[in-house]
Amino acid sequence: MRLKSLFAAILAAVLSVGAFALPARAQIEVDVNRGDVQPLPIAVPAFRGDRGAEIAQVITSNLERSGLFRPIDQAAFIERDLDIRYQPRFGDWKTINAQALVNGEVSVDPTGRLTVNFRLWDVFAEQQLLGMQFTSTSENWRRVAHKISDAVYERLTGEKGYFDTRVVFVAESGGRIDRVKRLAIMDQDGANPSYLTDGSYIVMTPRFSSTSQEITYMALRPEGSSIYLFNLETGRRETLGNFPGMVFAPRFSHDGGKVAFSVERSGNTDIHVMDLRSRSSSRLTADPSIDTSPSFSPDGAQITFNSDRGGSPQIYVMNADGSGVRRISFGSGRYMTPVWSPTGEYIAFTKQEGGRFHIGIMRPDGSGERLLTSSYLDEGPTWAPNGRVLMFSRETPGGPPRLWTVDVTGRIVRPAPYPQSGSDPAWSPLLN
Amino acid sequence: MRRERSPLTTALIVSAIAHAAVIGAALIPWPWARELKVGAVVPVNIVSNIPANPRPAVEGPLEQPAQTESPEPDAPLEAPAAAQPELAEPQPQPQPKTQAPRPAPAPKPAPEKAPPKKAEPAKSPPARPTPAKKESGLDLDALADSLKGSQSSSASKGRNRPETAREARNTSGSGVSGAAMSGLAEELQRRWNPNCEVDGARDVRVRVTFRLSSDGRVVGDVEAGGQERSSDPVVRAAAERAIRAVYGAAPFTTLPREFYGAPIVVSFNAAQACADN
Repeated sequence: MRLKSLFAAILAAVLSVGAFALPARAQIEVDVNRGDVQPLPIAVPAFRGDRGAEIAQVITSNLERSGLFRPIDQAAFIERDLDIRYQPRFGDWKTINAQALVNGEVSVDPTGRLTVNFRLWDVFAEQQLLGMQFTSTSENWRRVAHKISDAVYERLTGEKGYFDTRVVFVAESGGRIDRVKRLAIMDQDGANPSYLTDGSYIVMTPRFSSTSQEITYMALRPEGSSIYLFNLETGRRETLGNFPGMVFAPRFSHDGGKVAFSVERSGNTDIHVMDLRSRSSSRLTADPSIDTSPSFSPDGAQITFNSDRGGSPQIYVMNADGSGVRRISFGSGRYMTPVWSPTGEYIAFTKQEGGRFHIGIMRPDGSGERLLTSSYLDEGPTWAPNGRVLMFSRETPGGPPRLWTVDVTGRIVRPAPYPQSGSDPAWSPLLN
Repeated sequence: MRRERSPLTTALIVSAIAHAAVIGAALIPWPWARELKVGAVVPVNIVSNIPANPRPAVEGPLEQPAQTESPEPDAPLEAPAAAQPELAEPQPQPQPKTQAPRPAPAPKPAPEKAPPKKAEPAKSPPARPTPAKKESGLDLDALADSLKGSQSSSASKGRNRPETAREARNTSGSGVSGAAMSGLAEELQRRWNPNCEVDGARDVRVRVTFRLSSDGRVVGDVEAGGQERSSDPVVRAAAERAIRAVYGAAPFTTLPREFYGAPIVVSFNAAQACADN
C-alpha cells in the first residue's frame, strides 16, 4: 500500500514536471525582414614581423576598395601587438564593433624565404574562421597580401576573390594628335606597372586569356594591322597570321584554345575564329554589315557580338559555329563591346544614348538590362574573374581616359588605383 | 694671381656631370620607363592550413569578463523567479564562448559545481541535482511561473495588440506577446548585416536556433540547421552572418522571461531585407 502510494506520488511528480516542461520548450519563432546593410566592419592590425605593416595595409586597401568591407582605423584598436599563437581579446574588438579580425605574422629566413601566417576571426561568435600559411620569396610579399585578401574575402562573402590578379591596358601619353599608346600591365591595385610595348606603334583591345597568363591584342602599324599572342610567362610573342584586310578585336575563348576576331574587307566586317592548335580559321558571320567585338560564353558554346545589321549597333548572340544568330538588345540607343561574364550570368556592354555613355549589363537572353554607370564617355568593360566587378575607361571632356571600376549592382563606382592615363583594360584570371 | 679656368676643363666637368646623370638615371628604377618587361609571376605556395583555435592567452580569460560582459546589472530581472539557477548559469557562459564554440563547455560546469554540492550536502540535496542536469540552464520552476505569467499577459494584451507585422508572428502558441517578438526582431535586425551585394546571397533564407539563459545570454551554440557548415560558401557566409547577429545582439536583457529557456527560431529573410535597402 505504501509502495503504491509512493509510486503514485512519483508518477504525479513526473507528470507535473512534464506539464511544466512541455510548454516551456514551446518554440518561439521570429521573422527578421530588415537588416543593417553596410560594408562589413573589419580590423586588420599590422602583422608582426618585417613587412607586416605593409602586408596589412595592402589587405586593408583591397578589402576597402571592394566596397563590401569597412576597415576600421587602426587608431581605434584597443588590443595591440596581437600574437598569432593566442586568441585575441574578443571584447576589445567588439567594443570597436569589428565583426571580423585578421591578424598575422611574417618571418623571413636567412635564405630570403618569406613565411606568412594569418588567422581570420569571427569576433562576435568568438571563433576562428580561417588559418593559413603562405611561403614565397621576400620580394613577393604583395602577392602574399593579395592571396590573403582573396581568402578573407571569400570566407566572409562566399564569393571568390579577385585581388591576386593583374590588368593589361593601353597606357596613353602625349597630346591628342601625337598620342602614344603602349601596352601596359599592372597588379589590380595599380602596383608594379610596366610597359609591354615601346610605343613605336599603336596597340588596341588587349584581352587576357581566362585560363593562363597570355594576352592577345591588335597592333596597328603604317603597313597594316595584325593580331598578336603574347605569353607573359615565357615572353613568347607571335602573330595570329596574315589576313587580307584589317584584323581587330581579338578575344580568347574561355578555354584559351581559340581566338575570335573581326576582319574588315571592302567595307564589310565579319567575325572569324581561329583554332590555336591547328591554326585553322573560319568565318562565322557573312552579313553585309559591321559584325565585331566577339566574346565567347564561358562554356564556349555561344558568342555574343556587336552588329549594325539592324540599322544601328546592337548586341547579338550566335552559336559558336555561327548558326542561330539572334538579337538580344532592343532598347533605344547604340550598344557596343559586349563581354560575357566569367560566370555566364551576364553580358556587359557599352551603351550610347542621349549624348551619354553607359556601362551596363543584361542577361544573355537580353532580359534584365541595367545601366551601371553614366558619364561623358564610359566604354570597354572587362570582368574581374569572380564576375562581380567590372573595369572600364572613363573620359571627361578634354581630359585623358582613366580606368574605373563598378560592381554589378552599380553602387560601387570608383577610380581604379592607377594614377596615369589608361584605356581598354582587360582583367586577368586569378594567378596561380 | 687669378687662375683662369681653361675651356677644356669646363667642358670636361660638364661632360662628366652629364655622363654621371645619364648613368644615374639608368640606375634609378623609374616605374614608368620600364620597357618591354614581361610580367613574370613569382609563385606563392599555400603551405598548409595552420591549426585552428589556438590556446587563449594566459591573461586573456582573466581580462575578458571585465571588458565585454556587462549583463550582470540585468540579472535582477530574473531574481524573483529563480535565484539559484541564475547563480549557476553565468559561470559557464564566458567559457564556452571564448574557449570553444562547441557544446564541450556544457559538461564543464557540472564538475565545477560538484565540489560545492559536497561541501553543503545537507542544505538542499534535492534542489542541486536539477540545475546540474540542465546544461542549458533551464529552470523549470521559473519557466513554469513565467509561462503562467505570459499566458495571462498575452491574453490581456493580445486582443488589444493585433500582430500585424510578420516579425511579430508567433507560430508556436507559446503565449509570447507580439510586442516582445517585435522587440527581439528589432534587436536582431540592428545587428544583422546581410550580404546583399553578392549574387545568390539574397536568396538564402537562414533559420537560426538558439536559447537564452535567464539573464539574456546565449546558451550553447547558435545553430543554423547545418547551413553554417554548408559546402556552398555563399550559404555558409549567409548563415554565419545571421549567427553573428544573434551573438552581436546578446545579451537580450529587455526580453520578458518567456523567452528564456525556450528554443528561439529566427528566420532571416535576406531577399526582403536587401529589397528594402
